[in-house]
Amino acid sequence: MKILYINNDGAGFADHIEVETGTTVSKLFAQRVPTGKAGDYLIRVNRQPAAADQVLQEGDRISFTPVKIEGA
Amino acid sequence: MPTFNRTLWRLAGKLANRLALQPQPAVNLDFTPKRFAQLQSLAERIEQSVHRGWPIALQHSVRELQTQLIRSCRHLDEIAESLSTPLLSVLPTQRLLYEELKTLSEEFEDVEFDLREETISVITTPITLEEIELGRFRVVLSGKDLVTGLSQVIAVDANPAVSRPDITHPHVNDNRLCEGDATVPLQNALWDGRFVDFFLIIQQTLLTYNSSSPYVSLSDWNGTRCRICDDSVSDDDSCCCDHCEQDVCDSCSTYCDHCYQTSCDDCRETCSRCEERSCASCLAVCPDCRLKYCSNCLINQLCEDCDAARNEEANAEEEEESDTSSESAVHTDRVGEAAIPA
Repeated sequence: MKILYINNDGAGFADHIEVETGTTVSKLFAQRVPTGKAGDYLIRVNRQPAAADQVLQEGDRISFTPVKIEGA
Repeated sequence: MPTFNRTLWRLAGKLANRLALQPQPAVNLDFTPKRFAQLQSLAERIEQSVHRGWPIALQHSVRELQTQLIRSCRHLDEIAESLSTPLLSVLPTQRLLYEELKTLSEEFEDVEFDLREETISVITTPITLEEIELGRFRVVLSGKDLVTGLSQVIAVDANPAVSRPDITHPHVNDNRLCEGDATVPLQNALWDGRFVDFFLIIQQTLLTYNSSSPYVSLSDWNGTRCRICDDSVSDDDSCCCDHCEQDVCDSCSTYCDHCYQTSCDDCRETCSRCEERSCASCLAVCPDCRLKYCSNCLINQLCEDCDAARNEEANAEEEEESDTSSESAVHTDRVGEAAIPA
């Protein structure tokens, strides 16, 4: 199934990606940000705060925003 | 059933129109044979030079091919880099922007919309960095600035730096956030119409301190730190010691009475006689007692006591000499002038 994935770490592009049915928020996070800790990100599904075990649905929009972003 | 907000819907429409005006990035995907034809021609010349045994021509062609290859690589790198940004932005719809505007009120406690001015205004959570409370900030995004991505970041409960009242956050100057790592994600969030992400990224940037490039560092936020008492004072209440060149507060520094230079407590010493404090360079060591004295308490480069002692010693020597000479006048030896008693 396809979801909209937004990673605001780095360039912050929004991409439609294919994920397996039954993929949870934590599983997707581990796949996409393998070196990161979930606690270091604000995770939203369809603009709402999401639990780690929330199962993603077709057409969902998920965003990872780092808690710490350095200004200059 | 969710309530429909007509004002937000109209604002979303206006913002969608603004976003439709954003310029598309320039596309330069040049893989034409012409660009690479020169490489092929040089390759043929090299083959020919090898075949015919022309070392000088070969050397020249190899150099030329190297130069052209470097140029071509640069051109391919530029193309690869240009592909890392979307070549055609999918314009956000009025409906998507409406959903974003509605969600803003759920993400942030205090959100205001101004349909006429086309502005969205959000108040952040209270910002505390390294135990310094900087308060909340109002972030204002105007529809007119959607393409440039410039927003205003205004301190609500301002706690500016003591030394710079115009700086309310280490990374905010003149109500503008110096975005640093947030620059690209902010731009992309705006172009996609992701207003929630946009304001969240600004808030998280305000919640982060980058010690390598602040307008005013947090260690100096409450003023200049006095090297001696460690208190923070404003620039007006601090000075630089002329001797150690360190910042000290007014209480820990004074003018030297002798040279009139600013001197911190650590760079001043007490005269061993009058007990007045002077800067170290205005005190001199008495060569006899090895103690330090100010210029007022030195006589002939000696302290008063040592000078007196030397004088006494000199007088004693003089007296001794005069006694000796008077005795010798009575009992002069080996000069044939012995006194004869009457």
